[in-house]
Amino acid sequence: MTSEALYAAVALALFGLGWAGLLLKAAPLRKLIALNVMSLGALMLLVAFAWRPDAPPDPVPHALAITGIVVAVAATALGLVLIRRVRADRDR
Amino acid sequence: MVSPDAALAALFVLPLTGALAAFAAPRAAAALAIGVSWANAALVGGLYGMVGARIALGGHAAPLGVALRLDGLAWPFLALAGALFAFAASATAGRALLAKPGAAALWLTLLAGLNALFVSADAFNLYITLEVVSLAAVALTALGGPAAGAPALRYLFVSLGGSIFYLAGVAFFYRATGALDIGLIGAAGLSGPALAAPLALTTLGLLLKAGAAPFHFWLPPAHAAAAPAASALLSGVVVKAALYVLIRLWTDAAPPEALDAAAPVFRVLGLAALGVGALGAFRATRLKALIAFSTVAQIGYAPLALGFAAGSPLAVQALVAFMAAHGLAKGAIFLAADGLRRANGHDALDSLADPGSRLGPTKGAIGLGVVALMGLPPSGGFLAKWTLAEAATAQGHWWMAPLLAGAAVLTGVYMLRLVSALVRAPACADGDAPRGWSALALAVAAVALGFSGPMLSALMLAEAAP
Amino acid sequence: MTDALLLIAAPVMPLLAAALAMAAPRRLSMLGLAVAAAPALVAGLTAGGAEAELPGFLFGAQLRLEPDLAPALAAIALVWGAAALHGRAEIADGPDSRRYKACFGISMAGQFATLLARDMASFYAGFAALSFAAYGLVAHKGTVEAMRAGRVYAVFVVMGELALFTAFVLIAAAQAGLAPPVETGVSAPALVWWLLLAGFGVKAGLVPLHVWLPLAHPVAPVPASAALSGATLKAGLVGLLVFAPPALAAPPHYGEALIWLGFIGAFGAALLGVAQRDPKVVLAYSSVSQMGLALALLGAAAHGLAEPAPARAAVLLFVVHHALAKAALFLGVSSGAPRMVTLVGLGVAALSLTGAPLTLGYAAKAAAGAAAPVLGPVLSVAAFGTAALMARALWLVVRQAPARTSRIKATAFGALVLGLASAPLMLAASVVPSTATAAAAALAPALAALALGFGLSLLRVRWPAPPPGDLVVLADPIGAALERSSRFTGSTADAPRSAAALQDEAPPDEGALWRETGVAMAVVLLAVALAALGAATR
Repeated sequence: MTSEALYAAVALALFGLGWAGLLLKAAPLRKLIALNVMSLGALMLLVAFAWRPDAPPDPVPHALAITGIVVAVAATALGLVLIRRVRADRDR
Repeated sequence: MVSPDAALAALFVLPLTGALAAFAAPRAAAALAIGVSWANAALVGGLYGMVGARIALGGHAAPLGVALRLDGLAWPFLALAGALFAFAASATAGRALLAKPGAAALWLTLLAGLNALFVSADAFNLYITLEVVSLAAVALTALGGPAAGAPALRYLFVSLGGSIFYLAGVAFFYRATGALDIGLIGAAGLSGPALAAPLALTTLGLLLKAGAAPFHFWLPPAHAAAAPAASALLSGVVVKAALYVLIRLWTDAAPPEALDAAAPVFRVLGLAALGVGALGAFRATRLKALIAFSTVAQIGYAPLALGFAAGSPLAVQALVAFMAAHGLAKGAIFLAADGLRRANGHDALDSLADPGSRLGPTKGAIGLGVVALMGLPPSGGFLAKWTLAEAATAQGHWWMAPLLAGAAVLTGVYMLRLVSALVRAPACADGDAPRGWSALALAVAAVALGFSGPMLSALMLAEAAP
Repeated sequence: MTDALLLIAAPVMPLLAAALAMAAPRRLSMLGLAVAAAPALVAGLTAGGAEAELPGFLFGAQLRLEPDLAPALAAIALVWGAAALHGRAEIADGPDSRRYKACFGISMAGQFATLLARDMASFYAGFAALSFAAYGLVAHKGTVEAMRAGRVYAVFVVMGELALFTAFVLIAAAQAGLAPPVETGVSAPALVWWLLLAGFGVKAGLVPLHVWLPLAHPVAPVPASAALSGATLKAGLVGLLVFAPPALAAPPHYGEALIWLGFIGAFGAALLGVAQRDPKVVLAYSSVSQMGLALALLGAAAHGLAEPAPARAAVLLFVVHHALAKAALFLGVSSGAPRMVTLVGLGVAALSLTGAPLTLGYAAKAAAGAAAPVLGPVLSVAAFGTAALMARALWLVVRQAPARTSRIKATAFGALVLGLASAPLMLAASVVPSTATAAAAALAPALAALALGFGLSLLRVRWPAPPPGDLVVLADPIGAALERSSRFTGSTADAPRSAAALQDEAPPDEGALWRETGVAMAVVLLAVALAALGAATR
């Protein structure tokens, strides 16, 4: 098994785990965490695909993954704010 | 003469600068948003002459550079966004929304994201712009008031989930082709699992983000809970952004054989959306819920048309006409519905009353908007229906003609629930309701799209050129 | 150049007048509607053979006034103009009148477009505008009966539009172009012919699609009835001439079916109509009867019993004649002229419909008889039915309280009667019977009806009146059930729903929604992936 396949398999497992969490967990915070796991899976897929048999890793997917992480951070922040707001509205 | 580089870059530099300025100067933010929205509309109008331009931003070529492309498919979507943002910002509903803290910056960020999305030529930039659009749209939705928090959160979850599926698909595309540019991916001529995996992942993600049935459950609550001007943008153009990427992928990145094979899936999805949306609209009790469910139904025309687009530019043209006509008409109706709600003091469908003759433009907007949504001639919707029916019949699917006409009837019957309020006595006091000129302008544009047939054909031909 | 402008102005002016009616107050706008019919009238009188283009409209609109269609355009324009003028006195000002005027203008524009369009998209646009806007004319009064008539009309119109849209798309796909079959000479598949028959049959009052007609006429305002019966019915006939032309080979049984349905309409409507008690219902049934004859003539041509060219000419002459005569009769119900003048005018129109010598009706009947000799006896017998209907209608008009005199109404009525009386001269139609026998035969129906009517009125016979709309009565239980089950028929405002009822919109179970979405995601993912895989192995 190449290290690419191993990484990709782990990435897909993370992706599936996150997906299941998004669908099955009721609490908004858990859904948000599940989404983060899922997005880690997708980004790790990029990292895995950077692997080249007899050359240094392809830098392009790495750049994409870093950009993706920034996007995920922004989305998570917005999610947290919204969760807090929904809670505040409910408690009022 | 402005260079294409500067003009294309201005599409997102202008609104982004505006957003920063709005953030820095909250007092001038609303006026700034209105001004930039109109400037953007003018810019897009001027770009019509540059259709066919393709640039690498700052001279950095793909894959790490940012390549932009303005073709015949992109321009109608840019124009739709330009018109909607300009008129929605000037409407009373738009000014009310923009007066809220932070709204103007979000408004302009959304515009920048959409513009960038429509001219992006590579799959990863499309991911980034899809995310910018989604986050700004979710935040705008949340500004709709206390009731909007939960729908906005659900919208965020679905939209993020969709983006991640899309990103995973892009990763597989890169693995298979070493390219991110949509055209290069298409040129690689993928087949087998290397094509199936990324195509399925991206398609699923985009359908989720577009609210296409059966993934529509988040859409009506979000579009109904948002502020009226935000609803006009969400239904009018934001859902179209995901559909636009879907069209791009299936017409430019996937081989025609794949689209041909997947056509039955898309047809089923389209028909399901038409049915589910109509059913929801029949059962809605609130004005905005009715309009939002109508969006669910009308989105169905996109997969339906895609189901006939294999090797048929005519069906793609119909799809673009559908999107443009629906976007303008739906924007008009959301804005007009706000006037109706203000005049009545509530928005319970069964007891809405005629707002009187001062709201003539509002009533006209609803009337013309319904004409365009039903696809009666000479509206843009009719152009779309006729073109799609012709494309489908030419492929042997003559049942599409009565089906499309039947869908128009269905639309007419549920929209009658709204229209009947306008002929129902007694008239209510119209209070301080806006007269609705912006809504009327959008509705007139939706009907006048019926005159755009030759222009659309010309744009589609421009796209076909290399 | 001027002719081209006239052709474009014909449908555009009524649209502008409709827009003006929405914006401008009061009676001025109704006068605008009457003036808006002028370009079409002038075009019909002077611009036969003219062509024009509107390149941006839909797929590029082609307008052309066929020389033999020009008299029909003129007559129909005169009907719309007179009806608009009459409406200026008849329709009370108010918020409702704006809607009426807008619908009137859009209908008028639509009808002119159907007469001029030489591409299917524009024809359909005009036809749909006419069909949908005429709903506003039928339901204008807003009474229970008017709303019912409007609903029945809407159901038939929607079915008709479905059939037509399908037929047009099929034609366009079959011949790869938007020119109508009358120009391309390409005969469409059989299905298309039947769809066209259904779609245009609704408009032309083809039995059994006619039932909306006797319901709509009594409840619509008088000028709207005149326009509906005088003008809009002809859109169906002209549509058949253009899209299912006599010159092309019809599918098997098409001609037979049209002949028999036409006969049933011609005689059945006379029987049902003569027993009615409302002059406008009698006139409506007379329209069904007359249209039945014209449709039978088209059927005869499709079945090979008549030469195509004379049949087309006869149908078009019939269009001119019936448009003017029937519109004059409807306006005569509330003519605004002194009683004697009204009676003379109605007499002229009624005599013309029975085909009496020296009238345009004689020429129309003669042309039909010459085109399809087999129809000769039928036309003669039908003339007796028409005469009975006319006697009945005139009797009912005479008995009703005289309308208040109105110069405007009288002008409109007079214009139509004059148009009808002078049409034979303008068309150079032969209206003088060649033999004394022919003259006697042409005059006989009118005389017989007079004698019969006189006798019956002496005997004071009364008979039960069948319900207007005949066959639709069968559908009433269904309609009632539909109405009960739906909340949105529009005529009545439901009580405001309680706040609790509005809460229903909250989704039932968030968890279930997400789980269902998950299943749907898996299904779509697999379906797309398998389809793409399948494509590769092909």
